[in-house]
Amino acid sequence: MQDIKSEILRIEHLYKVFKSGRSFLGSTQKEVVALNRISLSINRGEIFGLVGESGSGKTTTGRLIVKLEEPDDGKMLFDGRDITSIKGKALKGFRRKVQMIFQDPYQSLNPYFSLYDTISEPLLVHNIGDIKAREDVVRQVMTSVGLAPADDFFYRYPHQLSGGQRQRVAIARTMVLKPEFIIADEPTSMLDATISIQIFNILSEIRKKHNATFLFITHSLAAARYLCDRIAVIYRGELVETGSAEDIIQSPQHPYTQALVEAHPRFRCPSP
Amino acid sequence: MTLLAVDNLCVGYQTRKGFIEAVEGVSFVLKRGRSLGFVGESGCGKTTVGMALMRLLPDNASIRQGSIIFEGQELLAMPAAQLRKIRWKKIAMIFQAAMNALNPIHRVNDQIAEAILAHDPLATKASAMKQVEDLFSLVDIPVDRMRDYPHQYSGGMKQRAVIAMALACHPALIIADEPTTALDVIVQDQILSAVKKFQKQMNISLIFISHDIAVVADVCDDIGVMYAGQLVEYGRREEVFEAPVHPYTKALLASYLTLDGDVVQPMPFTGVTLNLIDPPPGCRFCDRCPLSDAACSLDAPEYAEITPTHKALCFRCK
Repeated sequence: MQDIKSEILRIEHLYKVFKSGRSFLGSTQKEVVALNRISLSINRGEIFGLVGESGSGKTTTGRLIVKLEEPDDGKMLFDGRDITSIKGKALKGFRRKVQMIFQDPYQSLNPYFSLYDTISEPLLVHNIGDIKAREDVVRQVMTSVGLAPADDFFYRYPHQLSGGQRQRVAIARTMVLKPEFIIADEPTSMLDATISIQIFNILSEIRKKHNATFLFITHSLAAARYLCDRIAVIYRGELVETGSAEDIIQSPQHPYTQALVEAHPRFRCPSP
Repeated sequence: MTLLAVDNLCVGYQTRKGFIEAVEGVSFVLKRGRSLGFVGESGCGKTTVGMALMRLLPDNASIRQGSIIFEGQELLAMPAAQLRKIRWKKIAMIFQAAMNALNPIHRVNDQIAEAILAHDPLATKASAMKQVEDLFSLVDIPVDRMRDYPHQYSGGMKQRAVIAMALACHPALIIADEPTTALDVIVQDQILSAVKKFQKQMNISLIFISHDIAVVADVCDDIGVMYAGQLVEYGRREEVFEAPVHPYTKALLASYLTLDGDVVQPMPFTGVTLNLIDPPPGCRFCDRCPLSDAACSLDAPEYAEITPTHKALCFRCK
């Protein structure tokens, strides 16, 4: 894709434990290791897939990167700078560059906000542009994700939209800040196959236009194959395999990856 | 032998905005021991068909036309008391949100035994428990997990328990509505194997509803493709998947992402799904159809018979 591979995100030995089952006296805590010292590196402009089943730690990885959770150990570098424990102004600046698209567009949008409010909110938070400029940015972004004509959608509310349209809104909302790095956490798991394809195409269009980098979190190897340059397979908090999407699907090395490839439904017409 | 014959089924929902024609002119025949899959995008009416067969439609729904003949009896004319005897005993359902289909405050085996006791007057508590044990071994739940509560189960195990519950009264027909949609591929694969196993072993007819075309291909003998409330293509699995004729079926197959072969650019869908309140008279797919011309939007298409077992609702496939 690009001539020189420059690293945008580097994760080193990231470790996260969730504590659960806290009893009244706090004596019997259960610990669940969500991420067991994973390391990975993502290059600028690539779509990197993180594939795994539910509970494997893929969403936790995404949430750690956007700093919705704090890691218990390990290091994260963004653009060469350590972001593991940034706070305040530095964190706000970082969040302008890194955005997340959440899994469930039925929950990630505020039902009381019109689409214009939802999509322009990040601009307000970061104090970008005047009203006129914001309106232009929103209009342009909405058109680019296929919510056109944009003005027709400005004052609609989430309940008036289909699942696919809601996810477009969620994507538009992340795009108004022109982020360098976007984490898409199973953006199509609530959508039909035909709508999923449209969303995938929007994401690759964004990558092409803005040279944005994506971490694409999914449970579907086929979706990762369609969209991603490289993929990593995560299983029970450990990265078991990393490589080009094609290599991993053609010759999976780890038993879990093999099971994943084997279990993928395909058009086999079994002989009666 | 014909178990179920549905003819010209039309179901609609009364809403504040108007009457939604959710299912329009659906006809099919299901033989004993065979499986039929309905596939289509959300809102195409596939769940409504399943609910109509169970006569479990919500209050604002009405069946305007058609007939549903099950074991020679017209279900649509049947009084509620008689229907209750058929439901679950003869026709069981595996619901979409299986996670929520179990009662959280009862042990799983008690819930299934309860279904057996309610429908079989000869069953005793002990015989019902014995049956539950057999059912659990059929769906591969370890016997020592029988007395657990639903929250102690994983998603896949809950789904197995719900399948066991559907099998409890040895029904002649099971309707499975998106039984694997919330599950991971590996668990999905296991559940599909369980479904195929019981279907073969117990000679149960199956109606399998899913938006995942490959899942349907894996499980079902016959396939019905639904779009905007209509059955746009219907035929044997090999016919529909290897020689699809309806442009919607073709597009659906083309948009399926696989792990084999080259990464192809799937055909992107343009346009939106039709508003089913007062739909226009012509073909319901013509706005999104690459083959349509002016004539397609004027009259409603009629079924074209491609082979005696394969039909499609399209002007272009004669």
